[in-house]
Amino acid sequence: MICEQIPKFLTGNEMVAEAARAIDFHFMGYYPITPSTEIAELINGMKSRGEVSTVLLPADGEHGAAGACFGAASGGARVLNATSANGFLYSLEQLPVQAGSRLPMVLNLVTRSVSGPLDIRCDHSDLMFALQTGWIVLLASSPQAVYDMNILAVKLGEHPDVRLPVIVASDGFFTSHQRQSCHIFKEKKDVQEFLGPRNDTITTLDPRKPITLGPYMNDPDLINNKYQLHLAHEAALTVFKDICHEYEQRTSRSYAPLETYKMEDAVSALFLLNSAAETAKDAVDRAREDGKKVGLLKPNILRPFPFEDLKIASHELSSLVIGERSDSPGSCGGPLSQEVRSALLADHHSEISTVSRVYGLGGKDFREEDAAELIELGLRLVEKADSAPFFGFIGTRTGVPNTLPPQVLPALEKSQMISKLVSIEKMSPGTSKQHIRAHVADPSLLVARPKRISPGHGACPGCGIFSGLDQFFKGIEGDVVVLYHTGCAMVVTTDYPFSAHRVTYIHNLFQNGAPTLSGLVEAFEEKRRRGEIQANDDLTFIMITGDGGMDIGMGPTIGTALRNHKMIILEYDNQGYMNTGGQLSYTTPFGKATSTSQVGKNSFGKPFHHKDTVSIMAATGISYVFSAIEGVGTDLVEKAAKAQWYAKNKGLVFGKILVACPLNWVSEERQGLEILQRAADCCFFPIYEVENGLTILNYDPEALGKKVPVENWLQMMGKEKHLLKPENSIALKEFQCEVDRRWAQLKAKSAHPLL
Amino acid sequence: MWPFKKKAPEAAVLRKLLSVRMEAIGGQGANSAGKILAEAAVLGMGYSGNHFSSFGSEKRGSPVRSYVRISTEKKPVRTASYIKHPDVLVIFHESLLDSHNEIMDGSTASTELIINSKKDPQDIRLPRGLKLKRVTTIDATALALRCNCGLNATMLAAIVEACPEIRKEILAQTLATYFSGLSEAARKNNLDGFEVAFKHIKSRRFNEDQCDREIQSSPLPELGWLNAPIGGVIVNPGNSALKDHSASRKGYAPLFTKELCYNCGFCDMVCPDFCFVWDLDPTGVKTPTLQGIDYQYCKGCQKCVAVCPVSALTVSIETEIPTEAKKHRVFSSLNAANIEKQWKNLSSPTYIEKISKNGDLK
Repeated sequence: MICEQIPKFLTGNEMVAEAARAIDFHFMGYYPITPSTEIAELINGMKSRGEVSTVLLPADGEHGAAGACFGAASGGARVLNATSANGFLYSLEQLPVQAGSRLPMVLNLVTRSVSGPLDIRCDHSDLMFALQTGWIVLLASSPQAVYDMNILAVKLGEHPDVRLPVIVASDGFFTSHQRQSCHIFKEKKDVQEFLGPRNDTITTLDPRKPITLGPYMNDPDLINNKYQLHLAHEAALTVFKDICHEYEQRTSRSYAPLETYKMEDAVSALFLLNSAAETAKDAVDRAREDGKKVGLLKPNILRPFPFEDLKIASHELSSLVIGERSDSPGSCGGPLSQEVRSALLADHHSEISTVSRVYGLGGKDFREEDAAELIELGLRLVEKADSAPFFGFIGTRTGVPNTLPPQVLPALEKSQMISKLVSIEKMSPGTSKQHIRAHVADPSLLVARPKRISPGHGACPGCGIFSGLDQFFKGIEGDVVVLYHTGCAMVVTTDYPFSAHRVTYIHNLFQNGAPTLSGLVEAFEEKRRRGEIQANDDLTFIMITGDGGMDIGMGPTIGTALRNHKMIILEYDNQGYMNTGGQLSYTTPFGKATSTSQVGKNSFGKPFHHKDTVSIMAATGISYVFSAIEGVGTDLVEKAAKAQWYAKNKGLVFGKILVACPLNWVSEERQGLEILQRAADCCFFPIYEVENGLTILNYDPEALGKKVPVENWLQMMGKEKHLLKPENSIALKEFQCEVDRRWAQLKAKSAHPLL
Repeated sequence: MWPFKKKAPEAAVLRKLLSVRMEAIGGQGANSAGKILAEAAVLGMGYSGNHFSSFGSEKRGSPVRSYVRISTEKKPVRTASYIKHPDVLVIFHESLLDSHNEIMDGSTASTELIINSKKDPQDIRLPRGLKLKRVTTIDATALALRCNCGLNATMLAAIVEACPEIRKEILAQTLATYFSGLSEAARKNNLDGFEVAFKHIKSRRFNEDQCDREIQSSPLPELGWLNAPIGGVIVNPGNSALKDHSASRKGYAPLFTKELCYNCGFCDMVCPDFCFVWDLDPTGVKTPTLQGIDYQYCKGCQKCVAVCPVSALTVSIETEIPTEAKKHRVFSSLNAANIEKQWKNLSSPTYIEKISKNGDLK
């Protein structure tokens, strides 16, 4: 009955993709977030090469991704998703909906620390939020387990006694990015045969059997629905054992609900999850060599919790050390400890001393020595039950008492930030479409403006963000408070304990920057009204976002614009999610090759057109909207000065600048400006303002005889060149048509004040 | 089979467990070098092993560590932790020795050090108190430029030379497979680069006398739970000015000729790294004049060269930048004065007092 297996040397994320290849899910809805992003990228690559037929939906955020998956699962599709950390939390609201509706699917949670402060590395703080969702949670401690658990998850979730969505949790980076020797099924049909067809008794896609999915259900009914959910979890443990047995017969790989490692005659044991448990096995081996009676317990399933298995496995133990890769502050135990202790408490014969230690938060390494330390701690408890505190952290650093970081650069003085470099002229009514005009000094004099971002930030060579931002700041007078969305500009300027910002800076996660800053603006105005801030202490509030933040944060940004707070939102558009490895954003041009719109025999690149964010924001009716590119002229500096005037006097301003990303455009670092110029010359990125509802074209390449076909721009970027090949001529034509259509529409708007 | 000269049989003892740590800057190819090495060991040689890298965000220019563990006894390699005491420590850019003290962490008397450098091994100055077995240098950047191949191809030659556990021809095959997506020419360049590099490996037994480099203490105090401001706040922003990004350059840098400059300011408009040094008249009467480039921050993108309307900025091979040109600083002194008292309340003294009395929570 053994099915043929082939050896591989792959990472955890690659093994998810291999499992997905064999399962051939109908649908994957996702939103990129480190370290789970690769999963969608790899499956997208398979899709573009025609190796899987899975439909991939790049959602506008994890909340949207979870909704898309819910919808697809309701139709009886096999569905996959992958996420991490805050992405998982952003989708959290949707998860009980899906469990309560009993719609199976598989979600790979590649574990990562939950913000804030923002940390992209592994811990289990996201995973612990999964425990209350009603989903089954499987744990995968190695790339091999990741593969196997994904296949098992499909079968377990779809089992008639279970009917639940399943999370497969593996450790971010430690497992997701670690290559190990492993095996996969040689034949896809063997996996298909193991899984069998998906049998749905209910579906939203059969009009002859209409159903109402998601009713309004109060007491006395809801409690019954939740009891059904409980029973499904109870059944799941038995089903898990059965299907693991069946899987072992085909693969020789076995998974018990609770793995026991060298537990025979053990007096003390460690209880650890995932990759740390694998590391600890080496420490247990060494302790055993020294004659110490110690072992390890590693659950392979966390929901339902393997209570009975734990009771049996721990029966002879005197002490148990529970390692927690997350804390539940104030609980003095952490979420896992509460699970373990409640299981032991239910066993009336248990007299085990248990202690909890939090380790490895935010990706901090858990080494064999750390495991050895925990083993010794457990053995001390065997000798004397109260010889160590009940709870604690390992691996913290004390720091140097009574020292604080030195001020490296002095704070910018108010006098330094006020200059004669920019001025605003009010136009007489009827003389110009512009209400105000900015006058800006020559670049040779603008160099005197102190930079609000200090050098030493860690952006890639040739990154257009920082020259673009600095040009914008050159036009801003006086003191500012900035808020940066999550993204390249945030990550490379604030790697703790360093910060490149010389002015006060706030970060918030990138669906929520605009509301955050609007709250601060209103607090400032109110404190000033109350006299708690001097009336002459003026501040300009500027939010900086990438195009990614304008996808996931579009709704809150529109809401903020409609409320018209006195602030500026500046979008740097590098046409993709560059901080996470170049996935498509909605602003990415049609046909561009990105890591989630790969080019292959079945794909020419991004399949839908770029978002016109400037028009969307102009439609909110705010007084000033602009687009610009960095250059050696002062167009962007002038727009910054106008933006500041409008933010001070009228309300919210939105501006968008196109910036070069040599890394992910695969372009020459030195050619950044030329590429931007061609984007403007081909009318892909028109440079204009919408001032008090009137469209003003600042640069008309057509009128100047400079308009070029989009090819002239595309040919400068490695990620676009494929569009110039004959096989992509239809896509190229479609792109050119859309660019021309939008350009013609913009010209019409510019010509007619009523448009 | 790749035409290698047969290596003279050595008395090399094969290690049961081989650990390799690579220290680099993102974009130099340490991650792929690690992957190729481990793949050669596991899929090519039949050993067991693992490979992983420690990443920051997906960008060029941030430090990357790449780890390879190989068990020649084919025991399962389970541990997911970083390699603290490597058998082979590989440094992809010599300047990391200046800018990143931590790269030498955990080296022992059995560690083989490989550095990408023009120098002879005995001329590499190492931090005081260091222990090593052997020092190897290879001018991998120049070789890569000459062969038009990746830095990882030339570095891998020196790495495999230090790892007799892995046969060269197996590594060459893995390299060929890895680059199979590239054009025929690019693939050949990388394989040629790998082969040519073997002739340029210089290796010497480690000598304690070469450890005369004072380890520069960090300009920032170590932060821990006793003194880190609560809430993750950074109270001395702008401190990124302490950082040195010269290792981000890929062999080229702009060179400034003052005589040709008419101070138009275009370079300052387009520089992403704010490395132009100006003589500013505080009264604002005189036009600012450009003094030079602060190479501590310049990442060599050459956008400034592209916009310079005269030839005041030109592209130069990095090593040919005269010392005189490197003296310019954006900030004449980076102040290390203690922060104002106003920040003191950020870590609560009562809490600290209480904890100090109780001792460590452990």
